[in-house]
Amino acid sequence: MTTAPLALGSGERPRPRNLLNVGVLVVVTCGLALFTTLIAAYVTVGHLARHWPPPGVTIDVYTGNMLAITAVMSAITVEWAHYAVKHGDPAQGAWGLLLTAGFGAGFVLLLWQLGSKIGFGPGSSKIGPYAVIFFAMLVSSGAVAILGVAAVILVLARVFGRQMTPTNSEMLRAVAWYWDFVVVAWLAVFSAVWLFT
Amino acid sequence: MTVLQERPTVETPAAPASPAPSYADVWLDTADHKRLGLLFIYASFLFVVASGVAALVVGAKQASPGLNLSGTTFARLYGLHTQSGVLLFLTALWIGLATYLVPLQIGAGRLALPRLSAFGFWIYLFGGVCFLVSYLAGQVNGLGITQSTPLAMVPGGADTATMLWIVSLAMVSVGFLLASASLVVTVAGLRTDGMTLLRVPAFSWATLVAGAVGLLSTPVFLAGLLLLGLDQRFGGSLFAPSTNGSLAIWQRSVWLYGRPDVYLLTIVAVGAASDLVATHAHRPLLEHRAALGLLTLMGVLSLGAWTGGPSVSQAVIVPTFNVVTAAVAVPLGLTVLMWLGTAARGEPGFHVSLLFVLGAIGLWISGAANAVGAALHHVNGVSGASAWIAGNVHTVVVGPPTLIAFGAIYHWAPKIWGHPLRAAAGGLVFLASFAGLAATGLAYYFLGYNGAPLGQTTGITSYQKGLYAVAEVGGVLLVIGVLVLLVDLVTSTSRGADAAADDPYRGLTLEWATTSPPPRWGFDSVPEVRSEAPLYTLRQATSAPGGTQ
Repeated sequence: MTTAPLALGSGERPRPRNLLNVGVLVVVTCGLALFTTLIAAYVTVGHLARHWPPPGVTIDVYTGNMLAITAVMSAITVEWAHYAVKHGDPAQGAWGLLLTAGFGAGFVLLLWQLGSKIGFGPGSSKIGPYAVIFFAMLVSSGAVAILGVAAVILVLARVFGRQMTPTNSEMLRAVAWYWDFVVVAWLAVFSAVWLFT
Repeated sequence: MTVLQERPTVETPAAPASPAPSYADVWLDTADHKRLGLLFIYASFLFVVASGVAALVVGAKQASPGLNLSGTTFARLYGLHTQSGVLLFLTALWIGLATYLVPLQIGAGRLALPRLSAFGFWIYLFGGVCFLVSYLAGQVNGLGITQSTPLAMVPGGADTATMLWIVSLAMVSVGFLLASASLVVTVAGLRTDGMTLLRVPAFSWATLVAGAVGLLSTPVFLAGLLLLGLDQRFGGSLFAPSTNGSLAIWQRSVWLYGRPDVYLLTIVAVGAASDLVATHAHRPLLEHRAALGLLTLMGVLSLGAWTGGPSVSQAVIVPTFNVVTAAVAVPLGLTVLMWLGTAARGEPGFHVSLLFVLGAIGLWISGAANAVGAALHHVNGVSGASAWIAGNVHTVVVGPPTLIAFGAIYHWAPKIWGHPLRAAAGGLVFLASFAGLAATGLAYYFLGYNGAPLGQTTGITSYQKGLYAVAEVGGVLLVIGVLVLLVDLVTSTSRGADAAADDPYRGLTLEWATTSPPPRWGFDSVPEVRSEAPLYTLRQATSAPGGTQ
């Protein structure tokens, strides 16, 4: 027998404490800080500008509303999917995730369409502070939404593979939280640009 | 009550011989926090070379105004020195130390999100290389993020070098963000049994606080970079002088000294110094929970950087940016008092790392005295861009974290590399780096009092020329200090003999309970944690009358 100094039988390894949930909260915090900055820049410059948006720029109300409605619908479907899996109904969970992925893809396409309408590019007469900030918000929304759709598809594959059970649905919970963040971020942008401008 | 138990030696059959892991497996594909920490540390020392060379050329131009160096080239080198020194070197060095040590300090033995950290390192390295390439490839627009006024667009759109500079800064920031996120989740979710949040060692706590603030502030910087990139590329005139509000956006999101990030280096340095002092005083900090509270307060106050902005030039305490960030001095001062109290109540033993802590305290005192001096002399503030700012950056923002980082390397070298570094070389490193930072800082302070602007290249008087020469000598001393440290590191760690003991200092925290260097899995067995200084508590228990084995 040899003595191991200072060693006690207190557990060989620490027990992880909800690492995935903490990780998603970290990601969401970072994302919210990013969107808050962009919206703050939009509000700051807009508040000090004589005309906001500048003359010649029209806000596409129809596409903006469609984006908001699509985002809200996707938040409902992802929560439905989580509820279904949590209560032992993977079939409904799969449907919920399929719809979320569909809404997400539609959301990204609508963002693309909206961005292409700005006429943003070298030599464009529409370039100005408004276009820069608005385009930055669209790019950021699109980036987080694409990541979200990829995560939803990943978790959908796990549902199909029967790896999501009522007692093992942490990944779906985490993805749902992330998607909720995507929706909240867009609703904040929508409020700043469409509702309060 | 049994506080120690005997661990039986288990006879295990010899494992079948496996092929030695390749170099790629060991370093390129690693997710081991110890190797990732070393990669961050080594990469940071590569980038300090670029920063040092640029600093010496800039200083030479100011000390010898006749030197043939155009204003544009001077501005580029000035920006390169500041940005690579703060971001690519010092921030990465601290992240490297934290990535290596924090999982050991909390008894985890691994990172919570190791692949995320690995990705963070590689994107930092790639971004850092792109950053240097951007300065070699062309004319990067302006002084970069070190200037307090917005970087106006270039007619016709920015060149490739400027766009590469912006993208590389974004990559480096994302790398730091991922590494910080992994460290925060590690401390939040992987602490060993008994390691409550309030028992987390000061360095790990400081990493948690700095990481949390960084998670809030880095996305703000990224958003600013996105706006800057679009503005520079497409000529959106967002950051044009004629656009109202652009100054506020720039100074809060992009400008290096307008964001909380510069204070984060001080927070982790104070956390590390707290552990150094307690370890060599051979007793826990006087009031561990208060120390954690003070570190947290520093983190909260650092967020006050955002309350500054365009109005700072009218602030009473010009040029310490604003009242809230100047208030960081209060918890900092209280922490220093706690170090002194801890040393007085303990059984302090000399270690070369303590010299670096003393040097940092000296620099902070110099900075505080010069803040008063700046108020009395009414030196121009941020908007006036006085040379005083450069003195403050070298003395307060960068100096103490650099000194304590070097001290931390000497303190933790036995654990990290399995070999102690030479005390004599450490003394030399301290003398050179402390004298270098003090000389540079004081020279720029006095230039500020003399009315010299930041980045001055013309109208230099003979008095100012002498001060720039002092600053240049300081820069040379700092470079010598770094070189001696690197030589000591290479020669000490490559020798076969003189291996370090597992616990050479009778340490207090868990990293001293494993082998030097630690095994790949961190710990063979994690000691029980009953206090903020678990090893100290165990020693007390075993040495007390009635203590059992």
